Amino acid sequence: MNDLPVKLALQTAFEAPVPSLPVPGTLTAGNRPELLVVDKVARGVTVLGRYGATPALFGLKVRPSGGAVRVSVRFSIDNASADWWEARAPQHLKNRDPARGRLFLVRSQGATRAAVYLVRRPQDAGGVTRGEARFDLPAEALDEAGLLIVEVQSIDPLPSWARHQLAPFAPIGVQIDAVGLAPVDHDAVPLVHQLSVGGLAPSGAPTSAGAATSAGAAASAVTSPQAAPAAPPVDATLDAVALRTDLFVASPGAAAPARWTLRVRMTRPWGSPYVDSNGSADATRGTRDSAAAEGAAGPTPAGAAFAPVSAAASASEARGMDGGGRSIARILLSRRTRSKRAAANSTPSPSATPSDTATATATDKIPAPAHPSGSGTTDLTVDPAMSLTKLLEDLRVRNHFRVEAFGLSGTWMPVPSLVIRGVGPAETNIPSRPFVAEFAYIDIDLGHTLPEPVLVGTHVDLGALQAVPGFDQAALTWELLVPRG
Amino acid sequence: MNSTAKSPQLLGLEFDRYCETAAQFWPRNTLPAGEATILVELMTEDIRVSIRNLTIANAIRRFIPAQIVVYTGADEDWNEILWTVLRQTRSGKVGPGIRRRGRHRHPRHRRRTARWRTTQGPPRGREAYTLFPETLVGEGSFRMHSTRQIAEFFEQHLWANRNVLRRSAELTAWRSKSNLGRPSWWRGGGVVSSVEFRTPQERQAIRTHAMDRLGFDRTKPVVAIYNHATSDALNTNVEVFEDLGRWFEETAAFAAAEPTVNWLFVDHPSQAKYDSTGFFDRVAARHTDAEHLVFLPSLELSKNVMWSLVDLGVTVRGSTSAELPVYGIPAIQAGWSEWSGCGFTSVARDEGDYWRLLRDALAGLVEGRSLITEEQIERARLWLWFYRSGGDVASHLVQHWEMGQNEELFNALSVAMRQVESDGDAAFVSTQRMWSRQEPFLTRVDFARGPDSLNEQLGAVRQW
Repeated sequence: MNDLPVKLALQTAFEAPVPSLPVPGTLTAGNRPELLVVDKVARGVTVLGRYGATPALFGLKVRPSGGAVRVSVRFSIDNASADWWEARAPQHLKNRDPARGRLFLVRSQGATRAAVYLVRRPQDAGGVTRGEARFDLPAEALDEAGLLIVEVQSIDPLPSWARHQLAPFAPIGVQIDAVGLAPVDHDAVPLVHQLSVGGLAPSGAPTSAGAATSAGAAASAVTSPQAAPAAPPVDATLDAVALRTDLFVASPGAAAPARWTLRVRMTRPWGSPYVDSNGSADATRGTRDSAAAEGAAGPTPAGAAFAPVSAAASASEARGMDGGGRSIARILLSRRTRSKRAAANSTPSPSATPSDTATATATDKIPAPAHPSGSGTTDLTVDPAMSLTKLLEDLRVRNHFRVEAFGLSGTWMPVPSLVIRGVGPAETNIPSRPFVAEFAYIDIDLGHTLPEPVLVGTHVDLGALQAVPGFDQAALTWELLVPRG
Repeated sequence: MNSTAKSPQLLGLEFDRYCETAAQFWPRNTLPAGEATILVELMTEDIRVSIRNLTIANAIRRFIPAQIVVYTGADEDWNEILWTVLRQTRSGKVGPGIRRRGRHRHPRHRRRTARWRTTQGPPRGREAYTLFPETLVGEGSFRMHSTRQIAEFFEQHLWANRNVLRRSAELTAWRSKSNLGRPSWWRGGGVVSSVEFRTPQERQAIRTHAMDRLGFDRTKPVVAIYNHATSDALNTNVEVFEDLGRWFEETAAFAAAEPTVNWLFVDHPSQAKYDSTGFFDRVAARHTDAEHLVFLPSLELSKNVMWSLVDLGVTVRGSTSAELPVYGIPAIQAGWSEWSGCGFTSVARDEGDYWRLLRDALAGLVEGRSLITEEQIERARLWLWFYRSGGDVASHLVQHWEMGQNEELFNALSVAMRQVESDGDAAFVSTQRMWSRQEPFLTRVDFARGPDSLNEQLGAVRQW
């Protein structure tokens, strides 16, 4: 409706001029007059505000520069987010758990623009998990007379395979840190399939060169292909994005096929926990959250195929009572035997740190793989028939590994197609990290350009693996390889 | 008050000290008790209302020798009874054995004398409506007479002085946007009760999202129906339907058959206190198939979102009909209220007239015809000014409602009685003026002295 008959008379003689946020510009305080309207948002002083309900929105006065505008909205969750959720989410909800992941839609100018997924990890700096939504608005969507509206909405219904990992009424308690506006000019990198994997990389994490300005990876934890130990060279046009859980969200951007590659990395032999040269766990790598993917220890995915098997069931599988389990166990046991043999035949590396060796020995009596000369080579070999690729294929055939997708606006039900391909074992080129890594690549293709944000679940029934002696899920890391930009 | 009385409501030591102070203060600031009796209601659980009622009674006792007789809930569980037993057992009807609450609160006096009532809510310091036997014209309840007399006063003193009051009214309209929970005081204040957008373009930006949230057709107007506290003050003023519940039910049925507009039905912000029967939900359940009808708890919508949606408001007597026209949004009333005679709402004479008004308004919305005039907007702003300023008497002896009922209030009242000489206190001056002129309510200033005096009394912002 263009011309409402309402004779709106909200203007009085006492209105103060309201400044507009220019483009480019960033707003980081909720008490600024540019933030003209809030709905179920508590205004902040050093941040924009915090959501008290869902749906909720704020309206910003902006002064567009005449062309398209790139909007970035930075969100975060912290302890207060959980407290706010506890206090404000409907009391009738069952299984109240504010620590679950927060997945919500971001709408602007009357359309859904993105989805954001946040899930806390202990390694997050200051206990704050950060995320971001980015989207481009065409010039005609913004004018100085109107408002830039940013609205968040919880998603209902959620797919059964993700429901138990995600909090309902997800925006409640989420903090809005800042809103940024930038012109989309000829220098702007097109936004392609904005990814949200649960949070931005922790402070100090290695990032690829230019990651801070990489639109495609900005909402994700980005690992550098160069810095990651044992990582084979990644195409310079790709970013490796570490997954926090077995979920990630992709939002529409420039027209491009919805296609990603999931890289699974086996970072060390079974039973040999990775310890870096500082003796601390590497928080930047895509080891899945135990809460989301560990199986028995954490919330379980709802899908029966992905429910963790019990310890007894796992043991049964290992003893050969289940076809799928027997095959997987055999592969893994073979790998372990080979690792032991290789370790026994190798000479301990003088460059290996005491912690590397001590930890590995104490854990599983398997010395860390030798790094004979520091030249980046190793004498270890892996039978391709026993590869990680074969393992994943085996899991998929037995429905222990599955990728599913869910259109978050409810108008699209994508069916992902998968191709699992392998690259042989790779070698570390870091003397202090002398172990073999192995990679498998899973090409996920949703068929066409994203019409709406999509939730993707990459479920592995780790229970099927836990029957293998020495299995440690931390040996597997999961990353998305996505086009840079 | 008995100086040795213990705080009956366990309001704390400051309250007890205040009572002791009041027991010293009032006998020295009133005439000795005489033949007359002033009956004072202390039925409510809110001490602020009781303080208002007693202050007016004592202000009258400054010029009429009288004794005060209070009536209150003798039962120590009265507070609980007030908010539980008095919930209706059927919407619009009073439960068995329970007298209508309105009668409780405003009993007819057997002797012909003046009656008054004080309002219970913010944002006012003290507001009181009076009825004098000598001024009665025609039949009707206290509120019916009051409505007629307010309308007369409005024309005589407010509309006639609109040029003097315009700036103040404009300022009140601006201030009210930031706390539009008032005068809809049920809703509470804070950010959910502010209207922050200012222009049709800004409104449209929010409206698009609001329409999508509710599943409304973006191309159609929105009519909002505001349900009432359906067991509060029943039939104390003119209602064109048998009761508030039937009005709501029949309007919903009418709306279901009228898909040319979107219909938003909201409950009363204090629904839970006045209806434990699930009336609102039952009506909503009858219309789940009608996509152009949405039933929502009022407090699920911030004022920013609600006001971005509403093109026409419909109520019986709700204060939203005094708010919406101030900002250019028309309102229909299916009954009388304090302001219904002031000319800025469409007030139905009877049921037939209500449906006629509603149909005409829908046609106007669809055609793009404006349903409100500039004069109506100005009238609405004048009423808002009177409601928040001209009829609000600020006195040290009452304190503003927002002070709450706590130690700060009792301390401030004690200071007023101990440290401030009482001469010229607004509570006393305004009460004597109201009484001597038999005006329908307390006023902050004397409107009868003409425009120049009005400017002076208001301390108007103007260059001499």
